[in-house]
Amino acid sequence: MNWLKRYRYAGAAFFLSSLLSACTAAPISPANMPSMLEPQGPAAARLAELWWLMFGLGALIFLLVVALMFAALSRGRRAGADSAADSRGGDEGRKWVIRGGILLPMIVIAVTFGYSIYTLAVVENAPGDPAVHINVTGRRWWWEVNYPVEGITTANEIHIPVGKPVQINLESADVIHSFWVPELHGKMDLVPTRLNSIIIQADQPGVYRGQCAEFCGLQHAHMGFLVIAESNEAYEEWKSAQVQPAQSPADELAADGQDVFVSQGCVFCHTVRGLEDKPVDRSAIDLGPDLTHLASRQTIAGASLTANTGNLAGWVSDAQHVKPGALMPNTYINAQDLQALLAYLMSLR
Amino acid sequence: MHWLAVIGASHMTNNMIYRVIAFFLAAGSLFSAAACSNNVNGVPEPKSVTRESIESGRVFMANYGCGSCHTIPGVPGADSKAGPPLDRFFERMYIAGRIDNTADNLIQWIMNPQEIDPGNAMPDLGVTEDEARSMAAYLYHKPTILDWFQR
Amino acid sequence: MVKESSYSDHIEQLLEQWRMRPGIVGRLSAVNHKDIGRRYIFSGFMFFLLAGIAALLMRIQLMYPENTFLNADQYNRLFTTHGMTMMFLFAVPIMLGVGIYFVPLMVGARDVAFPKLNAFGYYLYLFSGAILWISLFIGAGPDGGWFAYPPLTATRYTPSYGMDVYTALVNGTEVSSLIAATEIIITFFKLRAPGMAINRIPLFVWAMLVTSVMVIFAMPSVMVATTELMLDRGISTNFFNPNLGGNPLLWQHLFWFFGHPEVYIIFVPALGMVSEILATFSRRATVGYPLLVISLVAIGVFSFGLWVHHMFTTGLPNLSLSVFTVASMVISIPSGIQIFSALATLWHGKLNMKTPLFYVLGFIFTFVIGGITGVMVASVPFDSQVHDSYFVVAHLHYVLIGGAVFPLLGAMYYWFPKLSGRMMSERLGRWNFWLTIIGFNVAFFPMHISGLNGMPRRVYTYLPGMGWDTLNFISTVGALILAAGVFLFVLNVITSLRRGERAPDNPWGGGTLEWAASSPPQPYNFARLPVVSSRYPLWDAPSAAGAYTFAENTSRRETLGTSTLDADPEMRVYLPGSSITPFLTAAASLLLLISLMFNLYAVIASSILILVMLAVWHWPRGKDRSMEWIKSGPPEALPVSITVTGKKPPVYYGALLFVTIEAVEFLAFIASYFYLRSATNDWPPGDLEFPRLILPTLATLVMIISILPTYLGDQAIKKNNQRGLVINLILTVMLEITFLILMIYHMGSLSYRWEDNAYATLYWVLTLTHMIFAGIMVLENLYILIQSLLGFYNAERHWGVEVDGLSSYFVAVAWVAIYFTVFLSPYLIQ
Repeated sequence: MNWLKRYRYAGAAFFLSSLLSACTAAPISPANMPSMLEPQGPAAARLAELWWLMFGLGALIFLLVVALMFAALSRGRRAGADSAADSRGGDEGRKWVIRGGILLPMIVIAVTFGYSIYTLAVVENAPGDPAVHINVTGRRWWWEVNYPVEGITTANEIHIPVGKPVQINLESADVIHSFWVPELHGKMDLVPTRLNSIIIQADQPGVYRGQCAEFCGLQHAHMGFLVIAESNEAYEEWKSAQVQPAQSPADELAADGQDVFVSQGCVFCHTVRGLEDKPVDRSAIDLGPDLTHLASRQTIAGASLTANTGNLAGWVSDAQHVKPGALMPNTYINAQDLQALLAYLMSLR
Repeated sequence: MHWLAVIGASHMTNNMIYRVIAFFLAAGSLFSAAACSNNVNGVPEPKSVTRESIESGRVFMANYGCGSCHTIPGVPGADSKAGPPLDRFFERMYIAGRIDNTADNLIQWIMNPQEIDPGNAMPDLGVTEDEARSMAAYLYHKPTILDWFQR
Repeated sequence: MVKESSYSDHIEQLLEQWRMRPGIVGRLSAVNHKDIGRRYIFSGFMFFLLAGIAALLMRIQLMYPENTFLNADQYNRLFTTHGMTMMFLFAVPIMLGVGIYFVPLMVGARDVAFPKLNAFGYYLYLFSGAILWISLFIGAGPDGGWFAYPPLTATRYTPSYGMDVYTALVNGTEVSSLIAATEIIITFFKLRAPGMAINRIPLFVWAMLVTSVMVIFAMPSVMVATTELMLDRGISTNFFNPNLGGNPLLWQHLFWFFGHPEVYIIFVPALGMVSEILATFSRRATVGYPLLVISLVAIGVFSFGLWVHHMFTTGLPNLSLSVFTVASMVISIPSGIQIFSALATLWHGKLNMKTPLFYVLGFIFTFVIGGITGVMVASVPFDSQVHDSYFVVAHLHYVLIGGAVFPLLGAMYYWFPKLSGRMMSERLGRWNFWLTIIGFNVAFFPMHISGLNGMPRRVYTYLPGMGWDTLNFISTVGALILAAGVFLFVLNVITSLRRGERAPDNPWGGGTLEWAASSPPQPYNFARLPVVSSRYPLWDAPSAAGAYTFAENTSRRETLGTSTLDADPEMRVYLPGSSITPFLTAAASLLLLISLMFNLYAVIASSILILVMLAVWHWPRGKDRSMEWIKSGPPEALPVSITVTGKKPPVYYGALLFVTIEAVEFLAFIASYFYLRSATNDWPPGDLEFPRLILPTLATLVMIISILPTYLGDQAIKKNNQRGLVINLILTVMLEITFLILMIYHMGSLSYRWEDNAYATLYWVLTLTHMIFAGIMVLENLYILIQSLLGFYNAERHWGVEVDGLSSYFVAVAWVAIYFTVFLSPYLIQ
């Protein structure tokens, strides 16, 4: 399908030119957009090809129909309206109905269906065994990410080695969610009672944004995550950092913060590995993200906020305004404790 | 860098919207010119403020996460109530209920809140002076109808 | 001269019989199809405007990233209400309402087959819609999406009343849709004008038939689904509870088995409108009548084979996905026939460029885009990208607004003279058309791109910098333009109603029968009935429009019943006149719907109230008790439907349809059973006992035996043996009561309850549902028994007994199916 690839930019130009030209002037580099039209992995590339094929066919048919419509209009208008109605001869145009209404769709269906099945087979049967297995659990409204072999648990951030197929096993802890990274692959639902999986692969190092695609309640809009594709070395480095338990606090403020973390009840929902935590029953449904390496992540709150002190301060103290309905409650700790807690959390690298 | 860097920033320089509604903008500027002539509460407006520094101030406010605690008109997602709302900041008499509302004080407060009032809820975020200056410029600028279109 | 005066006497008598009674009670008692149809259309547009306002609020919220115009909760309630209103309260009811208004006119009948039932259906629909919008205004609107996927909609994740409103409302509106569909089907088959053989029926009427049949098969599925959800929420059953053997995908199957045909239920009537408008405004017959009818039927059939394409990303096996892909794509063939027939008609026509035709052109332009994206999303791999993204939002609005709302607006311009007696303004019409079509495309075309750019649906806001900002801004601007267009439509309707030009009977020179009636039609539609010899009778033989002198009893409402295929006159169908009972019964149903949300005792009380109302409804009063009066009429008159012999009256076919609806409901329950059962090898789960068979088997035998006295009683009354009927009815009732006692005893001895797991849920709910049916059957038989004791039935008047017998047979057959499913299948399928 190389010819398709060759013409896809022409196709894109035509597609976009139907909008105001100004729309494309938005100053965002393409890699920032979670767009299926900018595929960054083999599966997404096949799907984009399928799209351009169908778009081309569809555009042809649309133009054909519109052209016929205007031709018929100009002919029919010339005929003049005042002549008497004709209820006979209802079938003079029937051969066109059969050609246009039956044969044309059949050809289009044959092509689209054939290419769809081909694409489906190629996308589903990725060559080679997956190099990495990752379990992803959808929760309201964030993603728990677990590397079973290494014993790493993190949240809203999936690190993968570039150029290798990675199998993502998808499970839901509560309601139905859907895992979607448009630049890498189509979506797959996380359905309670089902164990679904999807194999993704990134061709280039980069950060690819994903988002929940099945309506899952109040904060469905803020249930994002990042897939971070890295070179092998960077990936290994990340892994070896993540398997470590949390460092003990370096300064006094952070040490105070650790006390706040334990005494104010954060530990009831959040794990920090290495912290001598209490034997608390974390019922599966209200579990909060593992915070062992919180400060190493790029985002918090379901990839809706950059992970920095400012956002963390607001999130810890006033989560219900930052992300109304989130299962993280507002915490009522005094200002001084807040400073300590922030220092502690930001030290969890 | 990647998408994070442009949170809050990209749409602000989005010229297209101006074009779509240029007519309204023209009317809006006339309206806002009239509105600007009222000096509110005698708070001095910082001199040598450009449209660019106001806009970059808004970008910084978004990137530092100010909106997670404060309600700030014009900054996407900034509707939190942990800290005081920062709308029409030029009408305020005091900053943090402690120091006079002057441009220099505001810049200092943004940079070092814990130094000015140790143990208060606002954390040090490591803001540089230039950044704080832009943020102050943003907080002091009087919103016009232009801002409504620009959000 | 004598003839003339007798004709005007005739008109006067007809008017006296058919007119609406004065006063509020008179208005609420109206049962005429035109009053009811007009109310359906008016209410439908009111809901359309309300849902449109909801859409505008959502568009304003999405104008900017992280906007705070609405919060998440408000947005979720608004998009849920928008979807529900558009689907349940606007699109389906308004299409059926247009059908109820125009089908009798177009087939030359005086009313629909069951006018009182028709009025009941309307009020039920209105009350259900009122519940939804009142709940929204008091802050208890549903918030789980119109698709209401569990487990999100389970009490655990959505504890508010919103989803209880949802389940109540869906059941209310679906019952009303089923009623309207029944009216249209029976009117189609039994009430056509003489000579309107099956190949001369107008295309719009064909489309309404296909739609109505689809309603009959689709709506029961969603009613069962929402009932199961209601039970899950109300009494902790486990249909969809993944932790105790339920399955959320069961909901998706049941819902989309309804939900996909639903789209075509909306779209098919629109195709009929397009065909009618095209014929009139291109001054020629629509090209390819047989092809068009076949394609309408094909759309109806295929639409039931593609529900899984809403579930392409749930991880189902690829083979089944491919099958549904091909089914979903194949439906583009009948749609293609419709489009190309329209093009050929335009090509060969002599065009009269008026607003209705403009809307048809807008339909072609817009719907083709929606159809093309429809083929795209039918492709499993491509759908995995765009499913639940804004691409689908764009697609569905192109199909529903382009495919259904544009033709509907065109049809309003076309038929406004027939609805109101006045013409709509052509100048405002053009403005309305252009603003609507431009606004629509500006609003929805960018959504294709935002979807491809990764924007998911049903988000109350989005982060900046995703490449969606500008597109959303444009969409909002487009939505405002579209709103302006709709506003012009409303303005045009209001001004035209007040000062519009008076419409002649046939202002556009249409060829179908509705244009033979006056504008607006007299309450009785036609004094002399039309005789039809072609598809466009007014073009071919205008004089035949009043050619059939209907020998009728003018002291009551009657219309002509004809044979199914050739429309040969068969009987006089006796129609009921104005009555307040439908309104009161609907009010009682409203109580039931409300109490379903709150309290079991209130449910029982309001159910009893409904049963009482139904008993009052059907109790023969006054002259109806006298056989002489029933049979009276001019000497040359045809037999009355109540006493007809050798042919079956409309009420018999109506009862058959109701039995079909109930059968589909039971099938949906049984399908639920086997769907949940197929997910596990541990059935009954754990150490739960297998069903005990002795009492249920005995009960089954009793149930089967009860068929015999039902049959004998029916035969007895046909031979005028009233004693035989009474004895056999008593036997039937006793057998059914024995069945109930056996089953109650059996259920009481069970060691588990419905809360325990999915198996127990199915066991209890399937059995109890049938037992409730059987209980109602006992009451029905007792009702017939009382009437026969009063000597109401005889050899001539026996259809009531026969109809009751149909239900009795059905209850027995349904029980056998339940028995095999619940009691035998655990042994048979290991």
